Amino acid sequence: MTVGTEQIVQTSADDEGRKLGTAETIVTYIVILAGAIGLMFPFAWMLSTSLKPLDEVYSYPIIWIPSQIVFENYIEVFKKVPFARYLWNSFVLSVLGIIGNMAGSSLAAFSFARLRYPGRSFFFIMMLSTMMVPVWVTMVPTFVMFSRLGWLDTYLPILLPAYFAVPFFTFLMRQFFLSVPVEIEDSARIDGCSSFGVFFRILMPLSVPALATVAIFSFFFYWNDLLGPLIYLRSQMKFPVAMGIASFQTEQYANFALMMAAATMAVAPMLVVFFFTQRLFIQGVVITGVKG
Amino acid sequence: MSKVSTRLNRRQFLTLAGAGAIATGLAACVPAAPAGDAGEAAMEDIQIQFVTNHGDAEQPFFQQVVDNFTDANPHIQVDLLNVSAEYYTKINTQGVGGDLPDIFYTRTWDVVPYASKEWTVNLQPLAERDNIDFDDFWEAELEQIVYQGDLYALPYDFSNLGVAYNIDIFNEEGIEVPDGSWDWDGLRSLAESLTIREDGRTTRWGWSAHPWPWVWIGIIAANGGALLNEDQTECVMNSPENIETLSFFKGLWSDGIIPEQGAMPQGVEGFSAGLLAMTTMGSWATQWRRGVIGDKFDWDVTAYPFGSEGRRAVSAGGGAWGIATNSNHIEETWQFNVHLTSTESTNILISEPVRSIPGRKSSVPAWTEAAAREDLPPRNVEVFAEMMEDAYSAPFPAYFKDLETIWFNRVAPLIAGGDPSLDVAESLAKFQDEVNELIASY
Amino acid sequence: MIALPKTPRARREALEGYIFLLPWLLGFLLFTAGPLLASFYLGFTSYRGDRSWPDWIGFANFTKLFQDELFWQSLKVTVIYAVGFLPPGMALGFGIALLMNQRVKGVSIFRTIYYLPSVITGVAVAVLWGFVFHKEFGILNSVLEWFGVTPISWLFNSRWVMVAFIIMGLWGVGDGMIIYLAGLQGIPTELYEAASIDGARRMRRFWNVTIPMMSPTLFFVLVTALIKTFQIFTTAYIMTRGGPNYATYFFSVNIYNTTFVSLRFGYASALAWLLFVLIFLLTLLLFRSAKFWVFYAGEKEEAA
Repeated sequence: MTVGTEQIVQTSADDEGRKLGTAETIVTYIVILAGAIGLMFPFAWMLSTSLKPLDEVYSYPIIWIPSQIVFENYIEVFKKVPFARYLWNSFVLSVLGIIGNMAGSSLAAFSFARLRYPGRSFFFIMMLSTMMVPVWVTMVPTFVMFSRLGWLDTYLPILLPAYFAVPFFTFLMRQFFLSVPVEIEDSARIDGCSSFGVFFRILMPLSVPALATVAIFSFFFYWNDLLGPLIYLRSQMKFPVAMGIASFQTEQYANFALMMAAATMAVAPMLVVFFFTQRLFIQGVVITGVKG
Repeated sequence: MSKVSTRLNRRQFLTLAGAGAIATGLAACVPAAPAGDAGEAAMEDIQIQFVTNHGDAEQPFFQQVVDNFTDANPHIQVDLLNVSAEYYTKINTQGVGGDLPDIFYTRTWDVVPYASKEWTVNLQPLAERDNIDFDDFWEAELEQIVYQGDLYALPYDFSNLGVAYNIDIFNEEGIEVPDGSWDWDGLRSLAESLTIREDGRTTRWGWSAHPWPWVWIGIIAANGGALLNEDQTECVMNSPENIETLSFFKGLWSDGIIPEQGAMPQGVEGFSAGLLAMTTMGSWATQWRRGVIGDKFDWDVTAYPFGSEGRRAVSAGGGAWGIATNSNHIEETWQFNVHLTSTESTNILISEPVRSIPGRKSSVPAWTEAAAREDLPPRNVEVFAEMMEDAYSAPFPAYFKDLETIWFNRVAPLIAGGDPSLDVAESLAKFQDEVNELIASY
Repeated sequence: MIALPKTPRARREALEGYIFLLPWLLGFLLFTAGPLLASFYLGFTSYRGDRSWPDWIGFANFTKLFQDELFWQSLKVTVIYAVGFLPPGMALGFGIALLMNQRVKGVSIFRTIYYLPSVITGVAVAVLWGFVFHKEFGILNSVLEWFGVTPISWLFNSRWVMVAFIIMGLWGVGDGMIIYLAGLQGIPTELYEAASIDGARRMRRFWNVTIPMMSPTLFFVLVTALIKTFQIFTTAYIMTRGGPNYATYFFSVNIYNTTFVSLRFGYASALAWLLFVLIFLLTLLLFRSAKFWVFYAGEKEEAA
């Protein structure tokens, strides 16, 4: 069976959206706006708190617009902790984590979705099972293992698992691969493509939205991760931002102004990244050059 | 590599060599053997890991104390690490894994659990050898850092609670400020007269309480009851005295004199926002409160009320430093611990920056002096140290943290509010049963 | 019994399958299997984190479990939460994704805003909940007051706290939004065009095209959400510590407390493995059901 190029040109299902009538558009806007206002609330509070002098932070009613805007909290954050260093560390961790997750999960997912071999279902169930064991009980044995390997105070225990197919991402990619019509693959195989060819030349280009999803999720995971760094790192200079934010809160009291200044700086990159990369999984993928 | 292998005992090593990496997970069950004799390596360069549980604000003081030590002992390097959030997740993971930092922060209720699990070193012989002056520690704190008669940690600070009050509100109402000679009924009637309700909503409460169990051990003792029996083998919470005490406190919120939990808007600190005329204040919070109150109003702090037994029996808990049994440099770590808890270092860490009550009595004058130096409220900071005179004194049991979970579920709602239908006697009975079950399982 | 592939082509495909599987297989053997086995072993011991070899106690932990009231309580509240949260959570997440898939002006900004809940955590969110659930000034009680409902102390009353938790759970459903959005892109337009020619109404197209084509994505979200829901932890840990009166003492809170507060590693492992079996069976059930409602355009034999 041959598949013509035009048939696998995929555009987005949001074409549907173009057909909205005026009344529907207005209703849609109202619904979206109402939700957006609610969702903005914590962010607005964060931003406002980060720009306040300390004696306005805990006031009632909440002072939304500070009597004077103070940027000192932001400066203080850099003075009190090596925050620039933390940001850099988080950046490095995130980039390496994204690469690992995209590579590791898509390879294994391809195997689970599109190749047939004995034991496939068994391995798949096995992989899913590892997601189901609560992290707290395996934490100590895992720590001991990495400690015996001499990997404490390195990024290895935090990063390496990403390169070996994290179950959540693998499952995600598998589902995506499974929804790519089998005809596309068949035609490529008839053209003499090996599995490697099918993977690299057909499925990967088709999977940009899914890969972007994996990338975004792993970026946010590494950017926010507190538990891994907390357990495995010892040197302050290796800490990521999440540890930096936490250092402004102790068990007895918290400096919300500094915490929120740090948190705002940590959240901002995530929003910027999300805003500019959403195209990748919103716009349909157009495939050309696959000949039938 | 040598560092790794010295930490493995023979059995573990065989496990490792025999079964490879998969088995290392199992080796969790056999934590590293202590390798503690380091005396011979005195002049070699030595690294000590020092992990504490404080915020960014304390960092410079700890660094200064560390620097003072390393200046005097150039062959010893002290790596300071300050972890605030999830500190216990880190410590407990490392504790079970046999990979604790050489010296680490331990709250006094953790001293017994850690000691009984052999995570921390018995410091008694070292303390006796070096003539550590036990009399300079608070008796109540000493009780809490001893396990089976031996010392297992050296004290950093000690904390208790007083009552902070907003002087401006008292002046407005023309009511005399409390002088600390009050009892609980006195606090209640004072708080009641300071509470304002408008249109069915409370706009100002008289006081606010804390539901933490360590605080309540003292309060219920001062009112003739007890949490545990003498040798801590049985929970005796469900007694007429305690029912009376907790009914009294339940009355405070059900009568609207103190806010129920969640009644205070989130992100708002009631006392500094002027929503509370008085509040429970921890001895550690002086500088923090100065910062968040600023010059909005004048305020001060006074002693906790006397209980029905005619004493305050204020309970206290504190911070201390333990040394890990897995440390390779116990002697040097001990020297650092002695330095860290000396009067001089305590002055740097606690007294000068006006933190909680210094763990050494000899540091108290410097502490009260520093508190008064800036001429800021609260002016009566030394009341916290004075209350130590009749402080409630008993060690925390090994099962205290578990007890805390039960407390927060069964007893805290009586103190903090939320569900008026709760019955005091029934809640205390459940609490007692569950704690006794807990004790039996230990 | 697993049959070995017979033809050379099938053998080649199998080999390639194992090669592609290698990253996961290696990672599993190197980093995951060991700790898993260790925790499984500990489930049969009375280990409490001290410096001695754990005592083997056979099935004692498991028999004890069934008499442990807290175990039943934590199981109960977890199941109640899952039942209460999963259906509205799935529907709302999908609904948001459909909304965010519209081509309206400024939608890329709205998408970012709708993703905020997945990015912002901690204190700022706690403040939000203070505003929503507050007994006297809270938004929720203000709305209910119009209907004559007396104010409820949402987070501190054991009868209502679960409702508050489900609402808080719904706050985070935007997380699934990008997964749905990515899935929606996989639906070829000509399917919609064909449906239009058929004169299919919008609702019919939704049921006949969107839903079946989205079913692999929906299935993914359902399975992962199920696993996640049964492991709900952070909200309870931060907001209520499992209380009041154990009303939010979720299974994971129980496991966490048993592990890191009580340091009863043996018992905690037993708890964890029981939870594992429970989730495993439920997941298996979902996979069995998938045959009836999940449509894979790329399906070859033996896919789940």
